[in-house]
Amino acid sequence: MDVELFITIMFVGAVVAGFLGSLTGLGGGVVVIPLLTLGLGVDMRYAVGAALVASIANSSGAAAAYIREGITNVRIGMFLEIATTIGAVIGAMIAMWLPTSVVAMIFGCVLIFSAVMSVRKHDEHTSVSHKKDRWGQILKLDGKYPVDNSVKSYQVRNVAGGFSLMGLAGVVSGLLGIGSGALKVLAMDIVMKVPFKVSTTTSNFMIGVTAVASAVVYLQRGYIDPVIAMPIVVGVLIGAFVGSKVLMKVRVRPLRILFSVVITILAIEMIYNGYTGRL
Amino acid sequence: MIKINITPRQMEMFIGRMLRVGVFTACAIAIVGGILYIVQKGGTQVDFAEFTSSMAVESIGDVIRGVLVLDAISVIQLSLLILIATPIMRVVVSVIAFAIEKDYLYVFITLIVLIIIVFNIFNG
Repeated sequence: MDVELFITIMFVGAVVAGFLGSLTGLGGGVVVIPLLTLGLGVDMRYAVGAALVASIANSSGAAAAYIREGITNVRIGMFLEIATTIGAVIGAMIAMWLPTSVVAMIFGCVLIFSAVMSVRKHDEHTSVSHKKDRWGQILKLDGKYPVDNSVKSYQVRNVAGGFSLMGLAGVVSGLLGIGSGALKVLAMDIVMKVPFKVSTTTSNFMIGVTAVASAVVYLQRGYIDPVIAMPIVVGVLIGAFVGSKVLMKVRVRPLRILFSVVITILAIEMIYNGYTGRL
Repeated sequence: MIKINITPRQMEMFIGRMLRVGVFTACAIAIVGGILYIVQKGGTQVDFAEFTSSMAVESIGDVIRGVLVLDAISVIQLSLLILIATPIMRVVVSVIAFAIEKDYLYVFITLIVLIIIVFNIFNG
């Protein structure tokens, strides 16, 4: 393929990836991998490297917007980051010897799980009557966040369970290059009972740091090709920026459902192609 | 002893600004690299169906030397290094922020995260 055409397709794809990634909270990586592998016939390893770059761009770009609202719980993020960074290093090492067909199938499964997570109804866990978690107390993880014009407090639960699940999220990030935001939200929202808004923004904050833990290994092994990465960085940032503006104005639920259906179809295709050894 | 007078709010604003500067710098340099690439390699064919480790980044020194002779690949790699450095800088600033708040437990926790990342950079 002509290099100009390749860069143009990548750029347009990355804008869409960044836009949908910030609108749905799934990050840019989940769109980038199917586009590269199924769409353009690129090797799975380059696709994973590109997804990692997309994750970092998406996370830093969106984090700059979110942190101003005072929603992100930096203490929860930083504490759980110990688990995700260790997991990411392990994941990146596993990725080096695992066959790409297996990586493709794991990616498909994570994609289906992400699709389900992005459409489920969530509650904000604002009741504070339940018993306090000892580790939550020691680590000062409880917090407050603004809702409309008031400030709501929340208490965390099951810190040990959330921490373990974050380790798994880190392994998945290192293995697939994606932020695995869905797993991070699962750990915080469902296991630790952190309010959904706090979970998503804190997860987004964490994605960049987790991705960086495996990025250096990827760079040194040549997984991140500059020709692929260049249009991804620029496109994802533009898409994420537009997405974060639109997010404040429109109802995103219909779009989330549509997006979930699309990525489920892509996921099945990834699993099938992995199974038949084509990826 | 100098009294440090920075509120957590100001720190958040600073971190936000730092992230924006990081991503926009990376983006701008990537665009420059892309233009250079089209100029230098325009019209050639690309094929990524087979993985080769030819684009592995050996050292930051190699990237800088390439940038100085306006090698397109090196310029793009520089933008990637800046993109990767942005979240790391954020962790570094968080260590300082927790130190200002005198929250030494979190200075310790954040340092652990930083050590894992740095350890990985030198042992990858």
